[in-house]
Amino acid sequence: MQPFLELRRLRITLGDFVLGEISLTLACGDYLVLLGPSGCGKTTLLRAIAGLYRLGAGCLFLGERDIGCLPPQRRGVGYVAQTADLFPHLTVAENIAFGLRYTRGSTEEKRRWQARIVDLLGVRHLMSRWPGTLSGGESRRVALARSLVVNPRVLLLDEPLGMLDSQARAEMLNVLRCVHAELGTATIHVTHDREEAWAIAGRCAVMRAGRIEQVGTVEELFRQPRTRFVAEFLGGGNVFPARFERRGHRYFALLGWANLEVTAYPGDSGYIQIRPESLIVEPRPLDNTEGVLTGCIRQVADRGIYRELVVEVRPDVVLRAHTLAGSGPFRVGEMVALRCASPPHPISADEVYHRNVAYADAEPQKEASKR
Amino acid sequence: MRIPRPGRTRLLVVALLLLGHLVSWGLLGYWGLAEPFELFNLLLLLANFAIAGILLTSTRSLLLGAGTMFLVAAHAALGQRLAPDALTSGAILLVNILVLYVGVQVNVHLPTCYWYAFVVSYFALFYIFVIALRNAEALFLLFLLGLTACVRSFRLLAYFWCLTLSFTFCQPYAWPAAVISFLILTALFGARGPVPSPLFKVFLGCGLVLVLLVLLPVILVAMGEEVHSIVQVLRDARIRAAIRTTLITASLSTTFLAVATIPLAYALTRLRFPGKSLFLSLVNLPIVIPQSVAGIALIQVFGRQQFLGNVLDNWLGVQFDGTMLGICLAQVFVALPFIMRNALAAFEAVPVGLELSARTLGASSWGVFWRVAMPLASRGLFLGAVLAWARAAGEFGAVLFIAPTPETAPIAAYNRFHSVGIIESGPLVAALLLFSLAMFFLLQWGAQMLPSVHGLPESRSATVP
Repeated sequence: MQPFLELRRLRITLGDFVLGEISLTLACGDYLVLLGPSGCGKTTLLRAIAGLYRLGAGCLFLGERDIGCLPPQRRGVGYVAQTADLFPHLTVAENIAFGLRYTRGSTEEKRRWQARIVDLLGVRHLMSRWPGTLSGGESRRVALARSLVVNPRVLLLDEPLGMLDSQARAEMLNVLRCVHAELGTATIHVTHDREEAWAIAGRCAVMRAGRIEQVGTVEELFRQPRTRFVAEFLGGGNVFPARFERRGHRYFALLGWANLEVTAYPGDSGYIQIRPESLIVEPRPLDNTEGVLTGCIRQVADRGIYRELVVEVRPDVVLRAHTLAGSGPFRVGEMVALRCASPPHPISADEVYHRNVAYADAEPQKEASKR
Repeated sequence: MRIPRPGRTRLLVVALLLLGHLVSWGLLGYWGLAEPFELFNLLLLLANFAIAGILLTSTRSLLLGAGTMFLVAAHAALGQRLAPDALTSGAILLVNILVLYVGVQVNVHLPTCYWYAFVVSYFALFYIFVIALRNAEALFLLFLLGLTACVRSFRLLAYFWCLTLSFTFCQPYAWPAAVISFLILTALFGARGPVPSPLFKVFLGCGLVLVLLVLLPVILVAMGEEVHSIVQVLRDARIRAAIRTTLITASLSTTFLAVATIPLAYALTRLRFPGKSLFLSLVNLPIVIPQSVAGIALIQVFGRQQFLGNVLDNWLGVQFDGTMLGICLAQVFVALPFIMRNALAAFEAVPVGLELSARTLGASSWGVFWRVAMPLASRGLFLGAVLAWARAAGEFGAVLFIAPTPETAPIAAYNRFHSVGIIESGPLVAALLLFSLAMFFLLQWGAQMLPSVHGLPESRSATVP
């Protein structure tokens, strides 16, 4: 499949903040979640795609056209801001119809399309209200309807679930899924919440300090983080520096306090991540066989559906392990044995990763060729 | 019927009060300060004996009885020295006893602070009506009854005192003073804020008093004139012409200012450029420049003999000296900062995010300006225009220099004052005042109907959850 939206070595400079060279592709009907901590440039990137910031360098293709120099109103890109940004002087109906006067087509067509969007988002009962009277979730839905009414080719959502209570989040998530299933608009969804990525993403990109660290399916990102940052940002910690060694056909990570078998050889030195949910906690210390760690429980925290144990393996090494809620009578101070259910994932050292610039830039092409 | 034995306290109190009365009666008579055998004094003595008898032979309230005895004794000792005659003193005594009964029987549940407030108020009233304003005992009694009715609530007490003070010390303007102070009190009592603090209320109260002291007398001037004299003034052709000139020139100036400054203000809030802050401070310059100076400066530039004025006259046939255009020029100059500042603030308050969203929905820059920024800023813009209009209509100094004719309303008032004096120009002043006030409030009210960034006009928006 051809890439539909393509960012080629995009660079944006806003005062001191530089959004580094970003290359990213989005296929037709793709749903990409852009994950990153606050202040990493997610919103800036979205606004640049929408045309609200000037591109410093690079190209931006939508379909066959270079839209990098077009004014925002001619790009065909829909943008829903984090704060919904409804026009307070217009009713919900007027808000939704705002963009219609700028689209082509007969009045009848437009009316039918608007009715479809309104029903799809379930905002019909709000049509005569004023934006100031809407709840957070309602105003997000109206804002989404407003930008969908002009039938954008790409939809950019800036934290569509931010600052909503859990029920409204679930509802909004449902709406987003429905909209994407129904209309199939290529979407970029910006968030800093990894659970959102799990819940909705087809593909996921992780950003850090104005650069994209890794792009892939959610599964890939969680299971095979390519950098230490991705591992730490997506997983629940447990990232340790390690040296790697080949022994015949097997690879081992030497941690200094344990030797663990890993799946690949990323280089002489790097990191490994032991995912908390992959650790199996046994109540009784076993014999010190290979791959089994023993430690003392320092904290037990119930997190609803799972229970987090903080286990001190050595005075300077603390592991987090997730077990099912209610499993085992774990108590603080108890000695337990830890075993990896699946081999931990090795990560190459940051310097190695960043030296290999082709890694990030080759990524879109590789993916494109794969399709 | 069995007569109850009086308790020890009861006996002691009654005996002491009786003794006190007798001693004061005797001493005053001995020193010649009172006529001991005057009918009124004898009556009082007799009354106290009677009350003492009742108190000792029944179980009636000691507080009431002792209080009454104390009042009688006190009036016997002091009443004649303060009140002009026995009759007045007797009336005061009776009212005092009534007040005592009301206090003890009706307001028993009140905390002590209300009693302190009552006592202080009582003596203050006494001082004001009986000592400061001589021979106003009847008023004292009247107000005392009012006080008794009001003392059960501090708010009522505050209203009571406002009324009392307005009627005693603000005499020619008693009613306006009472109304104003009532309004201030109502505002104070109704004031609510997110953080309760007495400081805010103190600031509010003091501020209101000071500001209204300056503002309201001006309005009272208008109220003081008779209606038919105002109408008479408005029938005068010269005055009507002046008012017409004012309306036309002020509206023209405001229109020109709106067209010139609203787009400029929008651009200023959305752009940064070198020298921006300098320009923004320049805009405020007309506030600082004295009006007469501005007028002279304008003549020096646009006058017929001056270079620019000469050029304009020769090429376009435009003259400024003594024409409506000259009036407009002066008005534009002085009113510029008012509309400019409001427009800047109004556009500043429109969130850029809304404009960005509108752009992505397909609106061009012009569409964003016309359909998002202008409607959202409209209230501020309109208010700015109202202020500018008011400033332009009221401009005197600068207009006087560049175009003393045709007369505008302020200049007509000035001329009338010079030719006929202060008394005769009263109706005109009142008419112009009423006219300005009406225009201003009408326009202000109109502005409230427009939308703003923070929400819609009250009539259109529903409740916020």
